Amino acid sequence: MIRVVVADDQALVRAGVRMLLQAAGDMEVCAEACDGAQAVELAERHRPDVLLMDLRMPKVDGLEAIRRILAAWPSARIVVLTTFAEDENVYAALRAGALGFLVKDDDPERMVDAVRKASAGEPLLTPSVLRRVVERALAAEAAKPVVSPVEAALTEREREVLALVGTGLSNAEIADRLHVGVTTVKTHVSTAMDKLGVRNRVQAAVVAHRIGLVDSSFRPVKRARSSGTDAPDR
Amino acid sequence: MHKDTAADLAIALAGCVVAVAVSSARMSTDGASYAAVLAMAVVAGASIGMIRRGGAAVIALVGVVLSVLLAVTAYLVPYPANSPQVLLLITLAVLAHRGPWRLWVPVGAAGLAATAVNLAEQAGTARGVWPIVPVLLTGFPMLAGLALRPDLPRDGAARRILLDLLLAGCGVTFMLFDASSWLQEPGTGAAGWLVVAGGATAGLVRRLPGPALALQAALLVLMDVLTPPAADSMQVMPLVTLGVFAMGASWPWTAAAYALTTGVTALNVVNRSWPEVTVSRVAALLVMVAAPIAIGRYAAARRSAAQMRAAMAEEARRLSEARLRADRLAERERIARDVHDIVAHHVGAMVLRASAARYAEASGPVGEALSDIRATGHQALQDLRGLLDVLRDPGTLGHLPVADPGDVVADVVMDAVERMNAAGLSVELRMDSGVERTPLVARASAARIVQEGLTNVLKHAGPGASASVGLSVSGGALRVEVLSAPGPGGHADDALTALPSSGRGVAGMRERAQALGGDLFSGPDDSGGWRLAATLPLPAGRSREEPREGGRLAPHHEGEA
Repeated sequence: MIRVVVADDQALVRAGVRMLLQAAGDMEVCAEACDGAQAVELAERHRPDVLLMDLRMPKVDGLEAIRRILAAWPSARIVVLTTFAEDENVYAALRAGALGFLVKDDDPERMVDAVRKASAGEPLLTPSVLRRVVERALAAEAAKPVVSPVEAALTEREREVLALVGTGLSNAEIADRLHVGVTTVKTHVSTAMDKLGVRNRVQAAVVAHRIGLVDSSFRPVKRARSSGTDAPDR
Repeated sequence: MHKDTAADLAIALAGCVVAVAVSSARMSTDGASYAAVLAMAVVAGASIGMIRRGGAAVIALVGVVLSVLLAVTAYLVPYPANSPQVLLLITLAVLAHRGPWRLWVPVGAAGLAATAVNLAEQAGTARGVWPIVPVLLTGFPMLAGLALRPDLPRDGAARRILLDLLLAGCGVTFMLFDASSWLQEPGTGAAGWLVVAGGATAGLVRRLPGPALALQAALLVLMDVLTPPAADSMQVMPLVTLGVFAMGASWPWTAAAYALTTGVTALNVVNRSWPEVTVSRVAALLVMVAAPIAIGRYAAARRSAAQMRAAMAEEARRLSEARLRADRLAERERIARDVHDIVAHHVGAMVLRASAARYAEASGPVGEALSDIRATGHQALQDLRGLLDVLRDPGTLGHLPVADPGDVVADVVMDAVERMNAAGLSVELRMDSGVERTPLVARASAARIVQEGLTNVLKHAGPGASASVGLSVSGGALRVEVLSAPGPGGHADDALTALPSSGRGVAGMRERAQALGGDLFSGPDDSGGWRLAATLPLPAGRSREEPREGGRLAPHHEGEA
């Protein structure tokens, strides 16, 4: 049973999500929050598999709640629930560590599917959406300096996988590309993410861009294989 | 009534006095003629008393009476009939000012004839130019009266022509006066007409200074040849015309005009007044002719500077008008955006509910109904998103948290209050419980108004100032009030002069209030502070949702699955 916590200020939404997830059969809503503060508290108390979070809530809004939850519990799996996909806050939430987002008038099947994928740790963003998010993130953080010492800790394989993550491919596609198993890819991805200290694919992709593994048209950068040294190109 | 009659009597008396005074100069000591003159003066003066009150017809009648009087007495009484003459001129002026042309044309003609008769009797033998004198005498008052008519369009063609005619009259009068010393002699008829013609060119100067100058130069040369004394009188005219010409002409033309005038003047002057040509005299001549040019240019410069100032003021006014309009539009857009935001939020929730229900129990007609709801809601959201894309201003995203009811106003308002307190302005907040139940749109507008009102107070308050915010529901409307009082250190004046009486912000707030059918007042209050009050009407009947307060209405807490 996948345990979900729903946070939304509208009772209608909470009731709808509850009915939806219950009808799916393999998930349940174990708690509901109607504002950000409550969401943080319930996340801590229940440690659900997936957290569905609305962004516009009173007292503490969704974005702030996401940040607080991830600060206390970095491996939280949060999916944003929103009325407007183009909302700037959605992008901010993804940059902050949310795994993906759902639009309230999406297909119910898609929503259920997304919750399943989220609980399994699979990526939720299509390549095009990921690219858009990464572009915005890069633009937004253009002023900050690039942190490169971390890069040294990555192995060659991890760097390859990270580059492909940066292009937006799913784990299955990366496995195809590199001719390895999906599980292997997943392991590399999570190890790389741990090493880099990022929490979701979006952040990983951003890092991939910023350390030069992916160019601005989202293609991996070919680098001369130097034996063993992982010194950065610059 | 009393005052009017008194005024009329006073005018009649004044008329009599003038008449007697004018006549007394040449009265003889003969008793009978003295009485006759006196009687005539009284009659004439008394008739003037009717001018003020009478309509155009009465004035015309007075004019006719005076004309007849004038003509008759000119023949009968051997004394110059001056009193009716003067009064007749006044009457003609008033008639031309007030009456229709059907009246002042015939009466003017009668007056002209009578004046001519009078002067003929006075002047004795006809002297060359004398016919022009009655024309001038009656013409001046009538032209002046006509030019000052209130029903003439300003800057219209009629007024311009009248002014030009007046100018011509002035020119002729000037020339006649100047030439009167030698015009008295017999045999100067033709020369006299030349002088009149020269004076009449003054009427051309305003409109066609160039041709007028040429004409005057020609006349001057002609007079110099035929009647040299006339040329001396005429000398002034080209100089004046040159000045007028220099106001608007380009430098090459001005130089040409200067050369012409200098030549003609030299021609005139050198013959008789200056038998010798010396350097100093030439220099004096050149300077004398140059002076009008300098004056003309200066006048033109002043005029164009004034025109430019007027144009700039007009431009500034138009700019501020456009800016005001743009601000209003921007505020309307913001309102529209908020409304769409709110609606989309609710519709999204509805769609989710319906589609979840369909998903959970997709059966029969109910299931189909739910599908329909979902489809329609989805379409509505698409449309709203499209509209919002158009209206969305990236800079203000997320500014007003469109959270669910109960907290919109409280959040925004309390945030604003905190900011004010942090900035050193003490704010007191009163919010009735009924406010939470008002429609979201009204509350959102109220919150914005409070925000902007407090921002204004902060911007313009003196040290130690304080403000109070009140939100209440009464009389079917949501009432917002922001009061500010100057601190103990400041005066009432400070608050009044410091706060804008109608700045951009207030216009935007008023726009918001009026869009909801309400209104907004911003102005000083009795205690020397400032008051901002808005009324936002609510729809009749209970306003929608049940009251909410933070956490209380999360019905399914933990434990319930």
